[in-house]
Amino acid sequence: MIRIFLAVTGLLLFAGSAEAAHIEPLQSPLSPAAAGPPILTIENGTHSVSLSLADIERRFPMKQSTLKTDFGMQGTFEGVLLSDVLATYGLSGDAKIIVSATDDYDVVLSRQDIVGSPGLLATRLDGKPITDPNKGPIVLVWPELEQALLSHQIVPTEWVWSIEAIRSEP
Amino acid sequence: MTPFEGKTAPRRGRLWMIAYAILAIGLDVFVWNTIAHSWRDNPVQLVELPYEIGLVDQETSDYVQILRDIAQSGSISPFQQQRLASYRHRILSHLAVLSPYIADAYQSMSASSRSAHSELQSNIDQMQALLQQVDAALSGKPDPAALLTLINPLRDQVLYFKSDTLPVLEDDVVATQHRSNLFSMAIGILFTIVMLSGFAMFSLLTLLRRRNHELNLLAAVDPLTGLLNRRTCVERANAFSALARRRGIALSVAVIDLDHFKTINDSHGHPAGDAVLKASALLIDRSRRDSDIAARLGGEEFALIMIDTDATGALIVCERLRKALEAGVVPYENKLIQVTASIGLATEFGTGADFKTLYSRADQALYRAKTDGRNRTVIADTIGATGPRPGDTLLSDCTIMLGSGR
Repeated sequence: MIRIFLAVTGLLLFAGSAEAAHIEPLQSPLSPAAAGPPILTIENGTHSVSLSLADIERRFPMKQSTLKTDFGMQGTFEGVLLSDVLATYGLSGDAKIIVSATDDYDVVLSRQDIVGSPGLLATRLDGKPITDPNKGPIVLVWPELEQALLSHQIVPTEWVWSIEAIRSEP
Repeated sequence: MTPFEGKTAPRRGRLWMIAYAILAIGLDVFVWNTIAHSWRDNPVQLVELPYEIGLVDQETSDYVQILRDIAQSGSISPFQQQRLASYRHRILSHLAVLSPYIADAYQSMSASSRSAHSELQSNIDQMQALLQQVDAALSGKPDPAALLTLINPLRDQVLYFKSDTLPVLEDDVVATQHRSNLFSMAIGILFTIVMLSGFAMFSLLTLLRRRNHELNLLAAVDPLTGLLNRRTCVERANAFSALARRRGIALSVAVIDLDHFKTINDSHGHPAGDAVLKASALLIDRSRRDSDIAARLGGEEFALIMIDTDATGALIVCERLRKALEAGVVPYENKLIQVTASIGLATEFGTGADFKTLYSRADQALYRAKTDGRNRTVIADTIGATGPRPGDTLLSDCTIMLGSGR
């Protein structure tokens, strides 16, 4: 009897998980990033911190997700969870989070955006730093919404490339 | 994610909740039927006595047999004397071991069992006394009559030492089973409580998330029509505008205004006006695609924000909506209210114009639609638009105007 229960449970979990890409722990270690200039600024209203690629990859648990985007990038994205970064620098309790890109693109993430689906701040694609000047060095992807993105069910305002800053707005 | 943010979260939460419920029920059944059951079925442990008790039985029987031979012959041989002494020594040694052990066994018995077996220790004492009486009867010439009077009590005493367990009374068995049942039931209940608590917490979290989601939606929508309100529309339209600029795609904004709405209110009353607003909003919502935003900007003015849609595509959407409004009537208290709408449309192609700018152009086009006779769509011309240009005759009832001098 217990086998039936476990089988049904497993099937349900599988059914719930099979619809989109997933974020999972890093499957194989990456070569450590060389020391470099800051690439990401995080501001929580009172303090500001600048992180290099090596800082980001050393301070947070690295994750990965294999997915396709609608802006020409696809493969295995490696990086850190947006929620980990926000929590570490005290941005979790704020109502709105603003993600800024190098081309002055700003997007406001609501709490619902962040809680509803995990975002991955990808620093690498297929194990290599994202060196494309038009997309790197950091890309924000939402693996669980991959299918919704590709089927145009959502407008991808929150899929951001060339990220340079994250700040909170009360 | 715009415009359907959060839709996936409640669905996923529900799936997890079902999975958790099935897992919890399964584990609970497993615990009740196997673990607790096996505890319940554990045999009652009787009080076991050391192996010496069996030796007392056996050696006393041999001892009694020698005494019987002596009583019959009326004399005792040196060999019999030696054997009697040996058996006596061993019996007394075993009794000396048994004595403290039985005292310990008494501690684990219920009061009634202890009372029932209280004679066990006294039997050991009597046994020792009987052996002393036998010694007395054998001193000098053996007294057969005296020996025969001692043989039966000795044989009776042996009966008490035939079992290697103490015969625990029924109330001890019941008490032990009762304790076992209570324990297993407590484990089962505890497990059930843990599972139910987990389920309740899980449900509460899901409920809170859903409520939060609903509250966010409520703050974002117009209460009468259910479309997005002006504030949310502006926020999202600006995000669309930034995305359009970044990706070099078109963004179209249509401002839709119901014609002669004041007259409807004046002649049929405000409830009729509300019914018209709701019916029109429903049509606007149905005419939009998944990626479009439909909003009520205020009064009888609505907006449709269409990303990745050039003027041609947006015009098709607007005209389809305008014609649907024109073709329909709104039933209200046995009356059928005719509704038409004027639409102003503005499109940008990656120029970075924010919603305010686009809205301003669309509003000018709307003004033109109104002054040109209402019930029509007018497109504000924009730089880079691939839509119809002045002079085009895309649709007979569609007017193109030059927008804001650009």
